[in-house]
Amino acid sequence: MTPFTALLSIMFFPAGITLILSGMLYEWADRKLVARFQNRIGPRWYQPLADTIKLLTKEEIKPQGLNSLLFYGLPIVALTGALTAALYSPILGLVPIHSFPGDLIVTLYLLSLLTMCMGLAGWNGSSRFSLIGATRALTQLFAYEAPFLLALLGPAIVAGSWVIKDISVYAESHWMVFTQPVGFFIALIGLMGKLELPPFDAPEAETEIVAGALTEYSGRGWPYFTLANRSSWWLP
Amino acid sequence: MTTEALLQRAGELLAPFAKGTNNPETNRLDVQIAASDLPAAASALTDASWGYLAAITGMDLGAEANELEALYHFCEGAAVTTLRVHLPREGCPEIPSVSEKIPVASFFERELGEMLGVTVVGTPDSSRLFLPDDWPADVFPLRQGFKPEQAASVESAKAPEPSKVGYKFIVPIGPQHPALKEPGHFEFTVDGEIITSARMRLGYVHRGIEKATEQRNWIQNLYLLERICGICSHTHTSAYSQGVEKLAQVEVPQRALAIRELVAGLERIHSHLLWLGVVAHEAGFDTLFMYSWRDRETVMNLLEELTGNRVNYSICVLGGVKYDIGPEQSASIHTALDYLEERIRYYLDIVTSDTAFLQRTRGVGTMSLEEAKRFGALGPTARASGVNRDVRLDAPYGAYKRFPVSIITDERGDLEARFVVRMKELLVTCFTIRTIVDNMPSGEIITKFPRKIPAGETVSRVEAPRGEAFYYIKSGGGESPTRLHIRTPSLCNWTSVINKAVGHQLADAPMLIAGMDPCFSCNDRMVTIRKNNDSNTLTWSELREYGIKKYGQRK
Repeated sequence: MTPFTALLSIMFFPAGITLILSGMLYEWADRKLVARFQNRIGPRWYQPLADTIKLLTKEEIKPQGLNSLLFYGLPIVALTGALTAALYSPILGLVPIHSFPGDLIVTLYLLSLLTMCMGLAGWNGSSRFSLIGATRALTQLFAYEAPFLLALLGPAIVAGSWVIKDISVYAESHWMVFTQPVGFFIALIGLMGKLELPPFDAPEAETEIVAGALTEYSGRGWPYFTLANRSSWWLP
Repeated sequence: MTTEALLQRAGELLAPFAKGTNNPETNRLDVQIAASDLPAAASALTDASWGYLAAITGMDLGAEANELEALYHFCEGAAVTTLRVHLPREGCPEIPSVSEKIPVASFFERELGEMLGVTVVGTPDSSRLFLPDDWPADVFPLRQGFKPEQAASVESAKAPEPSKVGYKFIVPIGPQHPALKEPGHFEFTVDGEIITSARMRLGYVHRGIEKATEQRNWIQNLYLLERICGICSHTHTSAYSQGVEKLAQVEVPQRALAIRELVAGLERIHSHLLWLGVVAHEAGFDTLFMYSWRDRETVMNLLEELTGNRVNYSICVLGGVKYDIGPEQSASIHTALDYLEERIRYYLDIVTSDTAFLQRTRGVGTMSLEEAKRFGALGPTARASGVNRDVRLDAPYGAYKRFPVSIITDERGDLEARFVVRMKELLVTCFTIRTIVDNMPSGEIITKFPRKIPAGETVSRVEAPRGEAFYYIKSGGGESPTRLHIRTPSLCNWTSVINKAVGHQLADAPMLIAGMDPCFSCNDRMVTIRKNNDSNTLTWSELREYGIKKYGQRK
């Protein structure tokens, strides 16, 4: 793998633009379906893209009394983490383009990076809402991280490899949903917690703590975080 | 007990303190007492469980009489007992607090203190409730001779320092917050996720309506009072008209009264459906929110068809109503109710059977019968705790004698019970509306009304969707009222929220606040009056120019 192809794959495919756009598509489908369930019309297909573009052009207001390196850096780290993880994950049944022994652990770590960044962003903020949101996000992290990891160890042991590629190749010939049903459900629940989907959305419960850890993010930081979150939806 | 018996009993209870007693109206007893006797007299009534404190009206009798008056209104059934306390106007008048026995009085006392400059001795919280923080300390807007120029902002008095006692973690909710659709401010002190204490502050949309009524004539006030609240606008006009009609001794045609009750019923449907949506949203049940608001459109359209307006119907006028209901409207009312009844039954089923939703409502914020009585809760909030209190039945006004409603109560007292009570109330309301439409009395809809109202004072009580709305109206014999005091149900229900929030999860707080159906605009009736040359005030065009300049520079 030359640096050029690596850059290309991070920027465009399978990570980068492709992942971000498909994340948006996923977000649109989610919003549209919910809207139809609720007897509303729902957004047009390009609404998530339009939202992101609008948010990117907005003025970022840095609140007083917090570390600016963290404030500006964390959203970028979170997005990078999610995009990098894409290089090692099988997407839509495709074989991951890069792999090395033990990449399962690294990918899991990269996926946790988003939550860690959000937690840090919340601690860094001077707002009480972000502090409570961060506490909730991190508490939740402890709750689901260990079971999620253990649930993924099952397939790794059966496949006899720490490489995601080998596990997915093994999975093509074996239906692990049936051989490891417990692990599958635990992984599924852990995943929902990781992506802060309802009912694991307590860290951003808007009726009490506004936007949780990200309350203070007004401009560019917010879409970076949202993009990172949306992109991670595709990864598993 | 009959009203006469109730008044006689109140007279006996208050006899040791009375300096003078009279019966201004058949259902009212007016007892003059000394300020120092007030707590004892109030306890005499509450200990004998005679009624509840409905309102405290403060009044300035003017420079000639050189006296202030505080009226403590207690209601039981149709009977109203008023404790009248005279206070000196000069110096600093003092009155002892009654909030120890009657917790809800603390809100009324805060209002009395800031609006009239009466020092309430022993009240638990004497900080501002309605007036802004930068309001000058020695200016009291409800005193005679108050001028708007006196209300210039005081820089030094701005934003009180937050208390720094201990290491408390306070979560502020409001005045701008996603959970609140209207501005109010709550401070929840939390220990982890558990609320350990709660405080509140109102007044963000205070518009000075009580004061403004004194400068307008009786007819103009109708227009003004309709705008107290966007949800129960008809409640306010009908309470006001009813009181003024009583003072003027004008007989209102039966047909007009029936139409008033009909519109009040439709207003109740629209108010409760709106509330259902808001609370469902607070609980994260957005689908119910969208559905109930969609169905609410049916009743809004119906109101538009009947009156021409969706929100401020302005159907109620002094001496009757403005619009008649013909056979065409009757038919559309029936059609709309067919649909609404079916939907309301469905919602009643949802709120009592949806497991996820019940986890947020069942057993949350449970208020026992004793607590509800002690906190002075009103309306569906109180009825969900088993308090048998509804002005439409206790003191039937207007057409409610002819077209009575049945009372809905629930013993459980939690949030779920409040849903059940409200939804069942709607079914009763639908039934009453149908009865009215089918048995509409014939005749005129309006009668001649005098321009000047004879001197006198009266109390007018109306059951709003949220509980009892209390009006005290005093006429000096002229073209405008001398004093108009409004106590809306939300103000009484706050005590229960503030007290019940302690010990709950922070996540329940928005549900608890919304669960009593708070109406901030009802509470708030005054705003800072600033001078036009104040640099903080911008006109619309100035604001626009400022925006263009600010963002133009960045390019």
